[in-house]
Amino acid sequence: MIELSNICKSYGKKKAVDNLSLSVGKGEFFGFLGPNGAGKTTTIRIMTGLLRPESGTTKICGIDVMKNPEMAKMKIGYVPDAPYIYEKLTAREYLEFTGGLYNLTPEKLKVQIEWIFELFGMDGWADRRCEEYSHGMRQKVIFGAAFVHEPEVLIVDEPMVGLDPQSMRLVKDMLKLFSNQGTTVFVSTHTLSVAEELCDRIGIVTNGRLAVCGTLPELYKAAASEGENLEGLFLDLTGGARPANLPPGILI
Amino acid sequence: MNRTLHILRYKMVAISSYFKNMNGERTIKGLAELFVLICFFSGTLFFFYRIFNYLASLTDIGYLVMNKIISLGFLAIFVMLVISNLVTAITTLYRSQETAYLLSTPATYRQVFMVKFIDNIVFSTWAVLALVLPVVVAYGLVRGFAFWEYIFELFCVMIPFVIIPGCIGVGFAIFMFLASHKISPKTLIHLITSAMVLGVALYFKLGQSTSLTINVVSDWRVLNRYLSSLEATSFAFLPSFWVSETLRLIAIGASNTLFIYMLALVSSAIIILNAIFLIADRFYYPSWLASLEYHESITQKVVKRKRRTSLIKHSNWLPSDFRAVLAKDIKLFLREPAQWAQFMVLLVLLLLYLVNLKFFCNNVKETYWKTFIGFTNFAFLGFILATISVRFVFPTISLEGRPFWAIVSSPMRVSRVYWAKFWLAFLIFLLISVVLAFVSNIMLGLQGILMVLTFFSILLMSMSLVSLSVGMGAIYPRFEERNPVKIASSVGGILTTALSLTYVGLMVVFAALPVQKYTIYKMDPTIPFPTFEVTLSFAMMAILNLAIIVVPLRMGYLSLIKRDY
Repeated sequence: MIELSNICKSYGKKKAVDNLSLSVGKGEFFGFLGPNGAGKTTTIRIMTGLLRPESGTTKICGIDVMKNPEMAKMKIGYVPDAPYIYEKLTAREYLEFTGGLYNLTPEKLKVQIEWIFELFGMDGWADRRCEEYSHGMRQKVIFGAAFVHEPEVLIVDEPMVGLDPQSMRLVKDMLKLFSNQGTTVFVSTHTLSVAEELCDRIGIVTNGRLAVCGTLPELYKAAASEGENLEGLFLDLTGGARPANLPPGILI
Repeated sequence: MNRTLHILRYKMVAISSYFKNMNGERTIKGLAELFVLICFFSGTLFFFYRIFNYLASLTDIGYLVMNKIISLGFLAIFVMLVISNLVTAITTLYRSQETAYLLSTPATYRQVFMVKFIDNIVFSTWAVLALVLPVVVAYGLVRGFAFWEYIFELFCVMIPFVIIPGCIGVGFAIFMFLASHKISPKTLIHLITSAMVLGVALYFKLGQSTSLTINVVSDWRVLNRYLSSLEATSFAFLPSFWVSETLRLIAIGASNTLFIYMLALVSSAIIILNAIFLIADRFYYPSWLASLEYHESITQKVVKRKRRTSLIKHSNWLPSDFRAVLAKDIKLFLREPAQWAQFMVLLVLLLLYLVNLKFFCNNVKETYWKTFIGFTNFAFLGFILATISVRFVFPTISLEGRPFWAIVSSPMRVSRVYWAKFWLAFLIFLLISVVLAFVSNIMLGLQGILMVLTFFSILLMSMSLVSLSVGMGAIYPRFEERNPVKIASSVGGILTTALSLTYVGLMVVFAALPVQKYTIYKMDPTIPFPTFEVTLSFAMMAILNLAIIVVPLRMGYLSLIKRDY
């Protein structure tokens, strides 16, 4: 469903993505891990057609994003790291607006919106303006908008940043729900526990390169062979330093 | 096309939802704003009606002056619209989160561009149109326009007129980001600004050679020189000239020629609109990518900056917190090319105007004409100061933006930030005003009461206008907005413009009475010195300025300290 081949992208002299290739299958839940500035958001922006790579190809459901961006975007539901929401629209209006952009018929849109409201328990809030919503409620609207056209691929950039435990649980449940319905889910995060809890397969990216990629058992196995757990493997790969100078007993 | 309409439809839904969900307090505030706007419209209409009516009473020469005022006004508006469209495009078409969101949907690049282009023109233009409309109506009332002629002027003339600078400004923005790989947008804005200033300077210089001559009686020769110096604004290939010509031609009923100018405007607007869409089809998305890459590249670049704020650094006599706010404001202003480039353009236009004054004032001896020109200059400078204060001083509180919490949570009191902003703006304004008052007095060769009056009135105006803009900026802050042009054209901004221009108008009226009496006294010394009129005028001026300085500053301060952050 997602195929990245030899993607390169630079900002000035810095290589943000360096010859990255990746393939994610149908219905798979893929976790894209990496520290800040590793190239996760740049890769996602390339996948969603917001950025053009200097070289390489990106295909979503077999459609080349560069050659046919509108068709490719029809297949994608995208939740960026800092999502944009029309504050003055109600949740219903916002979903109708988004559905309209994806050419949904009014009948289909009505059914989808009712389903989303029922799914997220938003009935009492559907006709209130987004500016009145709590953070968790906004997340529901944003995920609802990303899913209103039933995308085949859901791409989510850093879904847990700034969320309280309740909202985090909500987002995890939503992602699982979409995945269980057969949607391919691609999630970028730097939170290891999220990846461990949700993902079928994980790719760790560092300095724009895919350092490792595999299923959780494969990664656990690789980590164990190095005498590490997953966190240790992640830190080793991404060049993260452990607080070695702390007194014994402090280290987890 | 359907998707464009779909997006625009939901934008309208969002706007109407704002009005539908107005609670009691918001409704009262909205009604108060509407009342002030109606008062402003009526006041401007009345003010210009009186001026145009007076000019109309001067028969032939009056109409000429009237047309020159209109022509000069539209030229200034045209230049300002190009710049404000360029500055607004940086946020609307490029940095806006909504643009990134729309580009991530299946909407085509052309559809996204079309929506954001309409946004850009509306944001950059509506405030200007709101200010121009009463002037045009006043002109129409004096020249006896029929109702349909106003409708014609609005739809067939004004709309094509604002589209042309809109397209030019957006075209500059596209080119600027496309070229950002080679030249930084900052350098490019400097170049564009310099080119525009040079263009205007050359234009005025060249215009000087083509003098308008009316060989009539001696008194008219003075005005003849004045009109000659403004001849530069009558360059026949500028849309601003076409607009002023349509107004003149409606007035004299020359419908054949009128339609030629209207067609020139409409066809130019259509051609340039098509050109900008062709350019956008090919270059908008690449330029958006380039803007993103430029932004990413500067965030990764380690920039060694020269210490430019040494002036502040050595101002040890200022309290440290006060100094910190001043240093931050100066740095942010200097590092935002869109801000200071526009400021420079305004200053240079002002300088050109002042230099231009000398061409028509060298040999003016007649007291009446000297007073007339002196007064026109006074009103014009007031208008310019009001424009600068709304554009640059009003947004300063809002531009603190979301990081305002950093100041609010620090031990520094909000009131000190407020006063730091006031004093910084006031000192800069004072400097500009002193130069303006001094140079224009020398250029016009003003003496006696007129010199003293204009000099002190301009200084007083600078303080009042700054107080009004700082106070209103605190009453109507828009912390979520980063574009100063949008802040200045928000409801609060337009209210401030309305109040500022009303204030300038009142100042001109209060100053006119003693000056008129004084001029008559100078021409005929047998008439007693107008002590009562002069005292009354000064008292009115004092009350007006006291109110304009104290009330908005106080209300702004209270609004700022009561606000939750």
